[in-house]
Amino acid sequence: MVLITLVSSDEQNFPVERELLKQSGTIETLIVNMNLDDEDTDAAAMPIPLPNVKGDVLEKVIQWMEHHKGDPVKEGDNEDNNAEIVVPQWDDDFFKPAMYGSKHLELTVAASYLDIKNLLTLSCKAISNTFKGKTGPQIREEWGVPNEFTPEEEEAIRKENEWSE
Amino acid sequence: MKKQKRKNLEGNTDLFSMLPRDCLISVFRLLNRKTLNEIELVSKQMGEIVANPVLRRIKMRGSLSLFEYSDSGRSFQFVSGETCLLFTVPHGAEQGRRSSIKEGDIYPFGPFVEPVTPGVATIFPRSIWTNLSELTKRHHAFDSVLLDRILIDNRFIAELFPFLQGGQRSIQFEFNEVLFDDSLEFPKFSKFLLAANPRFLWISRNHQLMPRNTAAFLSIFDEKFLTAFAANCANESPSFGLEIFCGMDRIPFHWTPSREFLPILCRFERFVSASMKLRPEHFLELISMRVETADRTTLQWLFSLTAELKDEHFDSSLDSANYAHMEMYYDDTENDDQHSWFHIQQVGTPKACRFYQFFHARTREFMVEIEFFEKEMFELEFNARGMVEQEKRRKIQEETKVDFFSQLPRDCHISVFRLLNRKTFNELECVSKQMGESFALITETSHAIQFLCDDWGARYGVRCGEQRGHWSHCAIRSESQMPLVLSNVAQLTPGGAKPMPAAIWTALARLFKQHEFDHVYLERIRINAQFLDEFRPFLTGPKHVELVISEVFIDESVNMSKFSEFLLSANLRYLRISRGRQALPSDMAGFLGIFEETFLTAFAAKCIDESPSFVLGIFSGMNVIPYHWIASRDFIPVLSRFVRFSSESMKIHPEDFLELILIRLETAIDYTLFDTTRSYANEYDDFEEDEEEEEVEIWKQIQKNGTSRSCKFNRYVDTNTNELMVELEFSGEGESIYFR
Repeated sequence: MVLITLVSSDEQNFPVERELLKQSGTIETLIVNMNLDDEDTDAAAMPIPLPNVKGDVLEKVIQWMEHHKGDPVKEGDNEDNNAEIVVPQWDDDFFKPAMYGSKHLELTVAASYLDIKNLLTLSCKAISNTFKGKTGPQIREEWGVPNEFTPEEEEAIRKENEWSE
Repeated sequence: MKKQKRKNLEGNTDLFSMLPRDCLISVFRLLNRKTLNEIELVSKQMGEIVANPVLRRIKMRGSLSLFEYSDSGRSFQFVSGETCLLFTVPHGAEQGRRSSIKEGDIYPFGPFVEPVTPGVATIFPRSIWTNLSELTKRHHAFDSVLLDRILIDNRFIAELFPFLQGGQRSIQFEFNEVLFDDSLEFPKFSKFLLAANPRFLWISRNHQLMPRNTAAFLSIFDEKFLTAFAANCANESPSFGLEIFCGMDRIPFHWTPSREFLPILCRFERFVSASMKLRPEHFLELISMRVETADRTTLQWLFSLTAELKDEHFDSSLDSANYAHMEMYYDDTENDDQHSWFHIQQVGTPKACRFYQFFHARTREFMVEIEFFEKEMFELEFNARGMVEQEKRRKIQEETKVDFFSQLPRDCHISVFRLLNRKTFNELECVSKQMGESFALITETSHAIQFLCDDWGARYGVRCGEQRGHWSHCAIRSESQMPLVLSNVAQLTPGGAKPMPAAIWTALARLFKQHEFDHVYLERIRINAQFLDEFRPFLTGPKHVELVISEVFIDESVNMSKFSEFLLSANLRYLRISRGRQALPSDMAGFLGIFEETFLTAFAAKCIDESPSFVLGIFSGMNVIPYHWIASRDFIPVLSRFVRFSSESMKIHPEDFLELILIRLETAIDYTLFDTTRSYANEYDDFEEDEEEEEVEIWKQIQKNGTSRSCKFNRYVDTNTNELMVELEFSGEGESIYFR
C-alpha cells in the first residue's frame, strides 16, 4: 500500500493511502505534477504541503474520505430546488457536531480547495438545510451575522421580492 | 441544536464571511426561491451573492402559462414554488392588472368556457408582453410553458420566442386547446418549436377546430422534425404528443417512419401520435429495442400501424429465444368492441411490455397503445396465443354502418347521455352537431360543484360548472409546489386531506349565490365540526340536491348525531356515501348507526315531490358488517318510494321483502296505467330466469300478468360477510333497490 504524506498549514503530517487521495482533484493534480506515482519516485520522501488546510480540518477530511473510499463522483443531483435536500445519515452525523460553527465552514472551504466534489456537495447540503424554512433574521441570529439593514432597507427588499418573484 | 447555536453566539463572529464566494454559491444554489429571498435579508454580502446569475435563475425558474378565459380576459401566470403571479388584461382593455397570489388566495385555475373559436379569440395585447418582459428581464428559466385556449398566429410566436431563449434547461412545452390561426406559417412554427428547445412537447385538443389545412399542419411533425427534436434532448428522454384527433373521421396526414427512425423513437419517454403509422414488423423491432435499452419502466406510446399485427409478424420479427409473448383477444360482439392485449417478456428478465391493439372505428385505423414495465411473471403459458381461441375472433366489419343513433329523438339522446361519464361525453360530443346540441341541453339543466383535496400537499380545488365537459377550476394557493395544470384525471390519494382553509368559504358563498347547483360532490376532504357548520347553509336552498360524499375523512371529533343532523337539514333527493377502506372511521358501528330507520324516514319525508335515493357504498371488502338494523313493517312503504337504495347494514324480513316488491309494483308512478283492483294472488307468475346459465347468480322475476311491469331479483351469499343478500331491479325504471 502506497502512502502519501499530507502536511497541514500547522505543520502536522498525515500519511494517507494513495487510493483515497483520488477523491481530491487538487491533490491528484499535485501527485501527477510531482510524479509521485512513478515507481522511481520515493513518495514518502516528498510530502504534499496544504497551506490552506489546518491539521484538525485535514484530519476530518481524511476521515470522511476513508468512509467514502470508492464512491463515484456525483454531480448535479439536485435539479429541483423545492425538493427536500437529503444528506445520508452517516454524513449527517459527521457534520452535526460542527454545525453552526466555524469547523463546518472550514471543512467546506477545505473541500472546495481540495476539490473533493462529493464532500463539498454534502457539506453544502448540510449548510443549506439549516436555512430552509427560516427567515433572514433567524438565519442571522443562528449564524452570528450582524444586521446591516435598516428596517426601511429590509422592507424595500421584501417589497422588491414580492413582484420579482 | 440549541447547544450548537449557543456555542456560535458566544463567539459572536460572522462565520459566513469566512466562506469564499464560490462556496456560498454552491450552498445557495441548493435553495429554493423563498429561502433565497430570506438569504438576501441576512446581510449585504449575501444579497450580492444572491444577485449572481446562477442564483437569479433559480429565483426566476418556474412555470409560465398564457391563457384566455372569456370572463376574465387574457393572462399570463408564473408559478414558482410558493409563488404565483398573475397578470390579466380584461377583454376590451389594453392595460392589465398584476397580482401576486399568496397562500390561501383563490384564483381562477382553468377554463370557464368552451375552447377558443375563430372570431372570438383575440391577440395578446402589448401590455402582456411588456409585463412578461419586466418579470423576466433580469434572468429567467422556465421549466414549463403552457399555452391554453389562445390564438396562435405568426405574431404570437414571434412575441413569445424571446422568452423561450436563454434558459439552460430544456422546457416542457404544452399547447392545450389552442386555436391555430389559418395564417400561421407552418415552416416558421416548426422552427419556433425546435428553437424553443423543449424536451417535452404536447399538443392536445378535444375539439375539431384545427387549421383549415390540417394535413399540412400535421405534416410538420414528421420523421425529420422528430429526429431534430430528439437530437435537441441529448441528455434527456424526449416526449412528444399530438392528441388532436378526437372527432376526426379520418386522419388527414400519415407518415411511415423509416427503420433508421426506430432507435430515435426508442428514446421517447412518451410518444402519442396517430398520424405516425408504423409497419408491424418495425413495431416489434421497436418493442424489443426498447425492452432491451429501457432504463425507465413507465412509458406511454400510442400510434397507428400500417396493418393489423398478426401471428406471422411475431413469428418473423420477434426472436422467440429471447422473447416470450402472449395474446389475449377480447371480443364483445354486443358492444362492437374487439381488441387484443399482448404481453411480451424478455426471457429470464423482468423486462416486459404490454400493449393493446385496436381498430379505431371512426378513423378505420389499427392503433397500438403500449406501456413498458418490469415485472417477474408467473409461469405463464407464453407463446400460447389465443387464450381465447382464434376461431372465435371475428373479422372487423369494414362495411359502412347506418347512423341509427342520429335518428333517435332528442329526448332519447339526453336520456342516454345522462348515463355517461365525462370522458365518454367528450368523445361523443365530437360525433355530430346534433349530439353537440343535445349536450347543450344537458348543460343548461345540470350544474355541479365539487370540492376536492389532492395529494400535492395542502392544496384545495373547487370545480364548478356543467355536468359534462369542462369544469372551471379555482385553486387555493398553498405552500406546496403546484403543478402547472390541474389534471382532471389526476390520481388523488387521501394523504393530503387537511382542514379547509378559511379563504374557501368566501369563494363558496359567492359560487352558491351565483349558481343553483343540482349536484354537490365532496371528495377526499376532511369533514370536521367546523366544516359541517360552514357547509350546511349551502345545502338548504329551495332546490333538491344530489349529494355525493366520496372518500372523505370524517374527523374523529365529529359527533355522529351532528353529522346526521347535517344531512337531514340539507335539501337532498339523493345521497350517496362511498369510502375506501383506508378512510373508514374508527367507530364504524356508530357511523352506520346514523343511517337507520329514523334517519331514512326523515330523509324520505323531505322529498315529497320527488323519489329519494340513498346509497351507502362503504362495505366493499368488509368481512363483518359492524352494525345492523332490521327494517320494521312500517318502514316498507317508505322504502318503496326510493328509486335507488343500497345499504348492507339494513336487514329485512323475507315476508316484508315480498310486501316491498308488491307495494313498489303497485305504486311506482311510472306505471299509473296498471290496474290495481285485481288481486295479486293469481296474477303473478314466479319463474326462474337464466338458470340454464352456469352463472352463480340466479335471478328471479315476478311479473304482473298482462302488463310489462316486473321485478327481477337476485339472491346470493356475500362471500366476504357470509350474509344473504338480495338485489332488485324493477323493469323499465333502470334503477335498482339493493338491500338485505
